[in-house]
Amino acid sequence: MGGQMLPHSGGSTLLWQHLFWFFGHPEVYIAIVPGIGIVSHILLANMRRQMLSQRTLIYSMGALAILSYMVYGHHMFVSGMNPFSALAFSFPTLVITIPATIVVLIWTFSLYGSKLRINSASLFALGFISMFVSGGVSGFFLAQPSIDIMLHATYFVVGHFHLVMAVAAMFGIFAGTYFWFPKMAGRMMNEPLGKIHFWLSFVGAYCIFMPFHYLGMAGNVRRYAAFVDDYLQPLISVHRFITVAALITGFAQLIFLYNLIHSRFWGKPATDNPWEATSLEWSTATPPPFDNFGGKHPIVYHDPYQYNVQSSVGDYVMQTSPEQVKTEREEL
Amino acid sequence: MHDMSVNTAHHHSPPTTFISKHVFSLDHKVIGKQYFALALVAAYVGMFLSWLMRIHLAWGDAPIPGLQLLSANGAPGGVMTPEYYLQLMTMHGTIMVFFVLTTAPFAAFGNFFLPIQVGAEDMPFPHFNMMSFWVTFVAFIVLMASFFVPDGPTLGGWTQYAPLNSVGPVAGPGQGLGVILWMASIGLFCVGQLLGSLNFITTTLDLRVKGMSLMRLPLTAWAWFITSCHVRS
Repeated sequence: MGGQMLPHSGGSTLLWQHLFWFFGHPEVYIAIVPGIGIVSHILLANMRRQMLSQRTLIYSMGALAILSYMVYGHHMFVSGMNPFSALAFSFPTLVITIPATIVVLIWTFSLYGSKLRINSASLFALGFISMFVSGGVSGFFLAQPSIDIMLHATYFVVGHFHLVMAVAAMFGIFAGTYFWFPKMAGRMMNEPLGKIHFWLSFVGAYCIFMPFHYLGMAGNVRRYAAFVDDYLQPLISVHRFITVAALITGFAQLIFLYNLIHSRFWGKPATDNPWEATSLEWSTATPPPFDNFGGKHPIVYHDPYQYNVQSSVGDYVMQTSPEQVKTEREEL
Repeated sequence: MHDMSVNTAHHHSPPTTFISKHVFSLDHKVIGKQYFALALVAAYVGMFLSWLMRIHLAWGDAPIPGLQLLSANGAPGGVMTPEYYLQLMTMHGTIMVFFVLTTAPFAAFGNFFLPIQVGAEDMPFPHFNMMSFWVTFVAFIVLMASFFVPDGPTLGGWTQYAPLNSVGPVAGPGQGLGVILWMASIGLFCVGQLLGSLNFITTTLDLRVKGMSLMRLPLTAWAWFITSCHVRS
């Protein structure tokens, strides 16, 4: 530290990295898997048809969760661990892109040709997919030790995880908020403000985090507080652009905060099922009574997402409705 | 299909006082909203820190008015030192990863909607659920407290690599008490989420209503279930 040797204390520094990332890597999947669920849930209610394969989607989420324990070493390619471990961790890291890709393909092909209802929730759900894919693509590079040695601890990594994990999960949170706010607060959120919030956040997030990849490839190491070296001087203008984008995107989040508080008290009162969705949370009152179903016990008759059917209420049938309907296909 | 009689009796009655209704509530819906509020506060704190960092990166010599009030040593005259930049970065990462990205989609929405989506009246262990939120809340307070200890928060990054985290103040400002508070906060946070996910798993497996087979669970319920198995292990 400061040119001085440090006294040795505690255990092995490499052991800490192993322990930390065995905890830390699954932790970031904890952040993203609920987002995958929320986005699927919201897309289903807005595209009014079933997923290509619900079962595969569930298995893929499970595979993501299990595989996430086996890949943590990809954070440690330059840590000084046995070079063979880098190979051993690189392989499952590339394998984990398979369930992730399956999830994205199911979303894409289920969306293809559907008449998607555009609202703040579905826009943020689409934004989630966009961020997840854009951030995921740079993951292919980082998963390979030979490339990662160049990019390790640069802004490329920062751009990667902000897109795939941070902004994507954040968009999942926003989508969930716009979608479930009526049930939680009993009032609708303001749609035009929600759409403005989406477009500013969507464009803003790309303006912030795409240049990060360029900075990383130009050799800008993360966690530098100042740019004193010559080779970093030309990058300052890029940093200024990112800062301006970050300030604007940040102000867009104040629109969201205003929308949230204003709608909580003065929003339009919400009906029990404003999105014509099928799952149980929409079959109870808005907001739900203390025991959730007002002393009754719902009975479930249907698969969760029976859209695109003919029923007495429209193109969907609630899980709790005993009505028999003709479905396009029995998927589950 | 599991027996209906198990969850017919609601094991706690509606709250009567303000405290038991809005503060120390056993109702999963109130706890979900409390988690949402916590995540909301944490998100704006984290965003504010990122603004400070971005402004410093773009205009390194320009003073940020008022920053010296937050830390007289870290930002003399409003210009942050390199160490203080790292301290803010560490806190940004920690707050965002743990108290926003884990708390909001998993704990907040999951608490509110998982029991409703499976048709249950509440989580099976409401006291654990309440504890889960309040332990997480304390974890957040402990983390925030490190802004106000003499050397400020830790500068080791959210990964806290050794030896930066283990040799004490010689490794830089905040590496004494700051690291200890950070560690305490993360430890508390993990306990809180463990209690929550115990509830999530039991709710999904045991409290489904008649007709709700596992394959009839909405995808959100599956995601929360998978995530809580994750937290448990």
